[in-house]
Amino acid sequence: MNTMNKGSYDALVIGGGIAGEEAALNLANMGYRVLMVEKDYSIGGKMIHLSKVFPTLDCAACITTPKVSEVARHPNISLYTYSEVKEVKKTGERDFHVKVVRKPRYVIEELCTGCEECERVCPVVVNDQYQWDLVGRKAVFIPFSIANPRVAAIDIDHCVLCGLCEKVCPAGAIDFTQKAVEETLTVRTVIVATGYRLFDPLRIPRYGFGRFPNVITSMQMERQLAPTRPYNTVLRPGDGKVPDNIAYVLCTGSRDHTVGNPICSQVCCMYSIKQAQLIMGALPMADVTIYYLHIRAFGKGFCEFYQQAKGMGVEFVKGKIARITEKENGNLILRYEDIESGKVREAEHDLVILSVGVLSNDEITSVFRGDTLETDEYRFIRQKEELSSPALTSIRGVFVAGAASGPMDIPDSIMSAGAASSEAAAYLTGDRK
Amino acid sequence: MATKVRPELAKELKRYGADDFNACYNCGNCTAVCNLTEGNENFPRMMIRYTLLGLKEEILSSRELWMCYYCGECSETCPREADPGELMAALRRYAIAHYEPSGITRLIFRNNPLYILFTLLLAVLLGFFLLTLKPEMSVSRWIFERIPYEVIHNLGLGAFVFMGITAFWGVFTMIRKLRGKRVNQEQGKGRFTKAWNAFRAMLREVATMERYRKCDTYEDEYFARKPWYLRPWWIHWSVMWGFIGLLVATTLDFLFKDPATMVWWPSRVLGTLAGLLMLYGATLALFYRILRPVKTYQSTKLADWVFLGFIWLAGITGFWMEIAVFAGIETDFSQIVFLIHTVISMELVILFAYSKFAHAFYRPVALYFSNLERVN
Repeated sequence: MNTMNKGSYDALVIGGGIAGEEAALNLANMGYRVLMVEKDYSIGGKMIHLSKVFPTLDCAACITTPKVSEVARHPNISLYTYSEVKEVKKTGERDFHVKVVRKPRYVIEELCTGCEECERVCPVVVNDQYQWDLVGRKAVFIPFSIANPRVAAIDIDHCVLCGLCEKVCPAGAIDFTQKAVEETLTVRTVIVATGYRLFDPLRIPRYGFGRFPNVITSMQMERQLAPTRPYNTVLRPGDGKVPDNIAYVLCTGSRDHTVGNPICSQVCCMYSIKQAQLIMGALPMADVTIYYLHIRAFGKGFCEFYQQAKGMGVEFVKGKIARITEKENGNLILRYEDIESGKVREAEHDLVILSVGVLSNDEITSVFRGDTLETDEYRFIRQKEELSSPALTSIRGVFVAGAASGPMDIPDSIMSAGAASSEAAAYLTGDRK
Repeated sequence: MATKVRPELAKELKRYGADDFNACYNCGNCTAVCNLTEGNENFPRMMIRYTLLGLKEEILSSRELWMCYYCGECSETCPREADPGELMAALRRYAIAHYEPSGITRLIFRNNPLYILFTLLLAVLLGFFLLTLKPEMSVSRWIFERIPYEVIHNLGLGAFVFMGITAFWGVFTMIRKLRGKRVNQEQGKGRFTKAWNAFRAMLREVATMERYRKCDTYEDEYFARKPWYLRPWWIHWSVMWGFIGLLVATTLDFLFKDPATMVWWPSRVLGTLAGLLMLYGATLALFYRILRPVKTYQSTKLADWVFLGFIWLAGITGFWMEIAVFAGIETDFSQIVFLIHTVISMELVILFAYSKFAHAFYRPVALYFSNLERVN
């Protein structure tokens, strides 16, 4: 691998989700030079894939894309997508040595116009990870319609090297000779905004995810409700039927010791309530039932939002779903104890959505050399002073923003990013201990 | 009716072996994940509530306690690791201790050294008693010089009578409590047919373990991937029917005298087969309790060891004797083995009311009442 020295920046922001974007923009607007490194093809994080946000039902993409564009165009921000931070070493105060690997996307970013000609000719179809496997995509593809940079990439693991895309590309942007490049840089401060992972419901075989096609995750439903949705309506994947009796299973992978995640994910109650309301709009005749343990509607306007869902006719049933079985027609039987009556019940639904929880994304801790970036007992980045200075980590000069420090919703992530960027700015001026 | 909350009951339950039920957050996963719960039978969450509130009477009048075969699925999947299955087991120990009137069970279940001491003392007493049946042996003569024959003999008989009374008292107490909790106690002629049907359904369950077989039926459960002869219900079936078979064989032997020399004698054949069955089940059960493949077997209490150990020892010594008799081996060792075998068998009978064995009385009663609610 070639190694290049690419100079220095004031701040390195790891992660291009909503928290990283906010932190980077704050610092850049103060005049600091920021490098943002995103491991995915596009920035925007999880939020850019969402439909609406709670409790205001504002369009998620409409809120996040202006920030995404601003990050991409800001003169003080350099953006590395499809790149990974491999090493961060603190050599002194305001002096970090960083190694970043820029992985090959086999498309020359500067030349690609995003015309999608390559997509049309590519013969390979695989699951589209940006539609959470609900539909397919090509092996050469624009990640998603509002991706930034809106540049094609070749999924080399599935590419058959037929060369059709190379022939058809009007800009001559396809380059199969690209190789990974390692860059060494120096930065003066680091903001970790690596976000979270979603719980994989395959780990609860009782719920039948992966076996029963009409058991889907909340992110898959989120896609079905988004403006850039795959089916252009809400369908159940098993047979394409429009569902009319939909169930939500809360606390899938949250508050559950058996999967090693005993804490509340903080967002599932509210996003499920939000989706229920959106479904009522998309499918006015559908019944929606939310099976919950406790509804945690703790933020501003959340409880009113919950009451609004009740008023709209969303049914709330207290009881944890213990087991899901499939009927021959693809409908699902949910077995639970109705806590209100204390009786075991079985309910039939034609689509089940598992409201999956939020898990830590702690691989980033392994790139820190010398000083350890500590994690808490749930593997989130440990906040050294959780109450008084929540952005501080175990390494002075490294700050944490957003859900990397624990489950939180979008407004909290943005506030957390604000705190991290303020702390980083203070550290850069040298006044802050 | 006013309900008095007794938080100290939760503390007491810890002495019967339940520890973590305080962690429960009332999600109902345990109740719903159980293959045996249905319409009118909802456990274990209900029992956790009873325990935390200290509703002793509700617990003692719950047939649900005995509807559970402890497959452990509730404990495996409990999101709070509150171990509801173990609480059910502890509550059964608690119930055994409280139905039985003498207080002996209450004493020994909560105190392991006392349990061992009691078992050993009983063994000595039964050993002595056994010698009164063989007064011509030299050991017997030596003992009877020190303690009069009548004292030992009557003490032994007294122990049996005492056990019998407490056992029946226990069952009677349970029936009284379960009757009291029934919702619709119908009158008139129809109730006899109903009772008969409920009784028959109970017998069917005892004979076939139909309900027990419903445990471990989902592929994510450990024993669902095992063949039937390695599953808990079969272990239970073989130990139970092995024991009953041996009981019958021993009675027949006793009635028709000295057929022990003939291996092909029907009662001997029955004894051999039943013995093999029981030994197979007991060995497998002990094996699982040592290997602990699932949560059920992770907290084996002394009461479990004593009961299973006795069954296993009784089986092993029994076969040793059968071989010894068949091969014509007449040694002191064989006599000692015979003594151990008989003492253990007698202990099993005597401990009936004071051990895990008592469930053999209590579970059918609960099944009967459960069927009564069900059949029309």
